[in-house]
Amino acid sequence: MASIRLLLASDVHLDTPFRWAEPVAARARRRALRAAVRRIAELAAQLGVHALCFAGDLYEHERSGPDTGEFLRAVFAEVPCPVLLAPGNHDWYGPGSLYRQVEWPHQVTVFHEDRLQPFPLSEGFTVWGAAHRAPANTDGFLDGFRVDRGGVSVALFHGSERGGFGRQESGKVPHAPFAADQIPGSGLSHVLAGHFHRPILGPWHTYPGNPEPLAFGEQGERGAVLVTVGEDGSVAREIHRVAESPWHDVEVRVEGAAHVDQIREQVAAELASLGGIVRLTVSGEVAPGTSLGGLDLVALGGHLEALVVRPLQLSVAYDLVALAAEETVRGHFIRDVLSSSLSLDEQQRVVDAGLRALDGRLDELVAL
Amino acid sequence: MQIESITAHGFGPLIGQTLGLAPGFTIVVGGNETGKSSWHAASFAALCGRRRARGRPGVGEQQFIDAHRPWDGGPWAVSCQLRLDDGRRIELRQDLSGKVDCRATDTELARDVSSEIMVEGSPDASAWLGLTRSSFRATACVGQSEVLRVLDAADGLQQALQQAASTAGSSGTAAVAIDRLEACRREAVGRDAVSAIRPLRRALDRVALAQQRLEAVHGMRAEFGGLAAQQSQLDGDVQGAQAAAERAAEEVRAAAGALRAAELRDAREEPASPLPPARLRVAAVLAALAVGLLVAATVADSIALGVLGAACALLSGWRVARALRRVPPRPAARESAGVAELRLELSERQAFAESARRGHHEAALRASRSEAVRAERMRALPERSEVEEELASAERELARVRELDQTLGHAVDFLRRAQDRVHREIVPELTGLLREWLPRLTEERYVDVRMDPATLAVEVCSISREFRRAQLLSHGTAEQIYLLLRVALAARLTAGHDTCPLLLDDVTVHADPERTHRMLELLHRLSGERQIVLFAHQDQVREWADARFDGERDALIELQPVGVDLAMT
Repeated sequence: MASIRLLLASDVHLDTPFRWAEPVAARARRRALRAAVRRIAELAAQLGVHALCFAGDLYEHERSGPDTGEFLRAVFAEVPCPVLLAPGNHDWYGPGSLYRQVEWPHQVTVFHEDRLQPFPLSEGFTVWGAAHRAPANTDGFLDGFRVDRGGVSVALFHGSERGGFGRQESGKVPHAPFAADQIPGSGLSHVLAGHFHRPILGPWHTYPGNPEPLAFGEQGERGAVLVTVGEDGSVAREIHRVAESPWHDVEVRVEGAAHVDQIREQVAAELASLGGIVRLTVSGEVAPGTSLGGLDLVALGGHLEALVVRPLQLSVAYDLVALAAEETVRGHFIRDVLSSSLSLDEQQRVVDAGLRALDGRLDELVAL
Repeated sequence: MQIESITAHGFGPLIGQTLGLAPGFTIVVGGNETGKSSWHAASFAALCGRRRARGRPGVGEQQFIDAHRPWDGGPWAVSCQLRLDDGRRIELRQDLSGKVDCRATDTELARDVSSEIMVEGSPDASAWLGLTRSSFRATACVGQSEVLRVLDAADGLQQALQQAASTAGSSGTAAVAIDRLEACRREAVGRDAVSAIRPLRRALDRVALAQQRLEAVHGMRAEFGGLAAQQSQLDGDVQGAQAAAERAAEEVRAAAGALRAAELRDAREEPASPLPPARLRVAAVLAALAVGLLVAATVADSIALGVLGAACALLSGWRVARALRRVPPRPAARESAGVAELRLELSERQAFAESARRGHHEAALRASRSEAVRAERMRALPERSEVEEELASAERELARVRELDQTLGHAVDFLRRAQDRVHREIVPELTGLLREWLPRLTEERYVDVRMDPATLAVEVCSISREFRRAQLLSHGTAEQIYLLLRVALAARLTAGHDTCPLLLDDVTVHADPERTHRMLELLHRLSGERQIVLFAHQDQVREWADARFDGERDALIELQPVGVDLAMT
């Protein structure tokens, strides 16, 4: 058996909602997800791999329809090698799933059992795949599994490696859990896995991560992973970036800006060298006399694919210590608020509102 | 705190000049072009400095810069000598350009004490008074415009008091702030009522609509899923019906084959036909002869042989026909029981096959119609992600409006409570001070005073025990009451700190000689408790001072046109 080259991708999440985005940007993002699938398919052809493998969550069962099914069928029909699909918890294999409704091209194999099934890719090389058949409560695929044949075997499925769970984004729920040390014990040389969005290139398993960003703050180099499996089961990996646009999470901190143009100039300088999709957070303090009426930060992102401006976290640079020492209504007000049971954020907002009201600048509070 | 001297190293038209101030009442008199307003501004700048901040200055700050930068372009700096209530002597130097060389030094210990009063990057002596730069300006610096505002507006005195109580006069009143907050709440939030049209109602409606749409999408997708399952069932039915029809057709074919076989068997068992073999043999010989003659005629190219061959062929045919005519008719075939059963079975199977064929046709028709409906629904299927995004956006907006509502509500509550408390606390102090001073100032025309804790409205009581609003009193009396209250408020706002000096700029400019005289008398009395510096330009003020000042606690300074040395008398 010569070495085998597999292109691995997962967690594309076609048709997922982008709740942070305005409608136009959200649609563009969903188109970008499809473009990523196309690029992965093209990459498989360019690299001349032996198989293209998707480790689950290719689409979202609750949101995808026949159009997505037809899109996938058309894309995979062009792939000149076997395409192996292992459904995950978001695209679980069931009666109404696209996996059952689409008439897949001959080179596509959908694993549909909830236990690992063999797919002999070549002489002496087997890919074992399994499917989630429900959106939750899928048992670990490696529990009780043992390779029953010679040659080199790798597994393809969607599941949570317990050791990597803590490093993933919050809110991630474990599905089909397994431990890395189960892999060699089961006779597998490697596991090609999906579910974790942050890429992991472990000694026994590979998570490619979501190839096209789904949320801001995602870390790690990601894309489709070219996995080369040697005759002895050793693995070499190479990440190929397929994302359409770069994402940036930019925080601009302004200190003591005395007028709105200073803030705009600072933000413009930060955005000038960027492209793609940017989420902008402007925080800090402005001088008491600063008028924020003409800020219009969205206009500064004309060269970007999308600019998401988070609510301004700007407060007026009042000298609260000095003001709170006053024997005035203002001083009492500040002292009372700062010693109240309100959260720190609430205290800051209430003090800001009260001082703005005293200064006659409430309109900007609403604008913020 | 007492200001002993102010030095303008470079401030507007003033270069390297010093103004020495008395510990009690100092009157600085000067006409136009004597730098009187510059000295008033320089006093404030020497005490409080300028805040040190990055970026371009704000509007007010820019106006200060434009008005008071040294005319000769030299260094912009002022300094002052202070004596604090604890006895320390302080030299305060303010570099107003770079704001770097600013420091407060204890001159007796030669120790830098800037850190005690460092505010916004530069030393601010108002911190020793418990004030800020802006509240010092509002509390300790009284200009003619403020006095005029108090006298001219219907509720000017009340407003001034509220403003001082709310923000030490540096900003608006708490009552106005509360009104603003409530107005903002009405406009930017609104009520949670069905008929409301403000942002809260709109956000609630938007969320409800998005939720309805999402539920509708759920329903449509569920219906579509049902249709898909039904389609799958119908497709299965079609395949089943097709298989049944094919099986039935196969069975018909099998039955027909069996029938034919049975009929052949029956036929083989019947007697052979009585065809006369002799006649047939003759016919066969004639036919063979005819073939031979025709071949020979062709080879020999002989017409005669051809004719003879043809004749033989005709003769052969004639004999065969005669032989067949003489065959007796076959008796009617008698079907065996087996054949009859098979025929019946074939008939039944044919009927069944026809039924199965119709069944297949109908199933295919139903599947086709269902597929058309499914395709139609598929086209109309909305994108669930977009509806979820709309719902998320609506919920964000609702959360923003609710947070604003909560913030504004809290701000109103806290401000109202603080206002009530401060008013309740200051009213006894202010009325006490007025009760002490008012009879003396008005030569017993007014003997009592009361204040409304809610509004700080002041009423004074005449000797006839009749209370009148202070605003309705003569301007002279109102001015005196206002100055008294300012002193009282200054005392309150700086309670627990150094004694606050008062810097008054032309507060007597619009008063007639009688009112001016009474105000000066009041200020002179007040200067027994705190330092008062009055900048004025009227001759009557100088004349009053000439006549009244006789001790070390008071001083009259006459300013000369800019460029001439100061003379202190």
